[in-house]
Amino acid sequence: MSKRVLCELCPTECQLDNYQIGGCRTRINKDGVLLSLVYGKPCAVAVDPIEKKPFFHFLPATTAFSIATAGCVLGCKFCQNWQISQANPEETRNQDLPPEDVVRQAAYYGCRSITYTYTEPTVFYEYMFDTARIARKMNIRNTMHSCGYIKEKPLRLLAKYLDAADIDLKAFTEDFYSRICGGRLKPVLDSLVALKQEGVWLEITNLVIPTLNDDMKTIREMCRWIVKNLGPEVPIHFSRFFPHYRLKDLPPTPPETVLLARNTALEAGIKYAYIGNVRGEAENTYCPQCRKLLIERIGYMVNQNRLNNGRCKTCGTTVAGVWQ
Amino acid sequence: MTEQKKFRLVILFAVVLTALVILQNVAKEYFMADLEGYLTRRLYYERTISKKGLSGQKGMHWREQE
Repeated sequence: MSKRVLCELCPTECQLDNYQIGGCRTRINKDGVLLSLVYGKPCAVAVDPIEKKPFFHFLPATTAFSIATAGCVLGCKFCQNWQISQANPEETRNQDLPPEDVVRQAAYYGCRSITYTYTEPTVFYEYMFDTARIARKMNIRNTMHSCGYIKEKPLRLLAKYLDAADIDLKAFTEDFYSRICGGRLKPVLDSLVALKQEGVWLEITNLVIPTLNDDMKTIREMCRWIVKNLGPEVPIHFSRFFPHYRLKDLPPTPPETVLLARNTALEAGIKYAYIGNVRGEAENTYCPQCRKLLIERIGYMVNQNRLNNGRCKTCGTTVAGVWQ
Repeated sequence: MTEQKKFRLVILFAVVLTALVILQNVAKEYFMADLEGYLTRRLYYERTISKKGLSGQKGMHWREQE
């Protein structure tokens, strides 16, 4: 009855009594053995443009076979996918899709990559890990969109098979992570550094929420931290918030705020800053040297790509990213 | 039965009753709660989770790869 198990996957470190399910809703202690309830059981499967993840500097205009299972390691009040991230796996409609079939389907649909996304891929770590290993053998790239709330050991092990990661840096204060997400900021920053060290292509997404994390001083501080610890070439996406889940009382982010955040990032030394959920020129990639238009986007669609082997056609400057 | 015997019997009864109440409280605090929680979780697993065809893949098998 008292065979306690410690889950060492995420910084929450749940200590589970027998038959107790972790805070992520997907891991159970059954007679002293930790089991994943969602291995091979995705509740969301789709073929998406890679720009939707969002990845702007990773195989542009290609498609990504995207999967997710129920559950999440955090409980963000603004979650845009709360119907599945805050649901138990026994409540969602799941498919039977073992790792081999994920890779097979990705190849069938002509996807250059598989993305572990929508909810938090850490909760289906074993499924993601095994799929990524098979995909690597089949020359299909592996990417994930994650909150980065994972412990260092499993992250570094996964990084061996990971080609790119888009990490949600939800804010730059411990208070925000504690009050709004039920987590901590420090482990996320550690994950960003670890991914960079492991050579995984990194992009960052920051959802700008009115009154909660739209203070430009803090955004500047965050961008300076990125420049100092990850380098100025890590693209950052400032996304517009729309009221969801438990933050329905807040208005959508004014587009001007998102643009202001982008300008703040550029001023802080970030070379590639974008906006999300808002249409405009700030969705495009410009050469950091000569400022010429390199990739023109409208939403998730790439209108034109003027990169030549990852270089600006006009001045020859190398643009950081994975282009082929 | 003498009055003294009756008195002793009442005292004995009171002591036994008090001991039982204390034992029950201790058991409820330390053992019953654990048992009740375990039974609730076990029943939920057997009645709901196990019938949904969810996987029972061993978690943390990545540790073996370290």
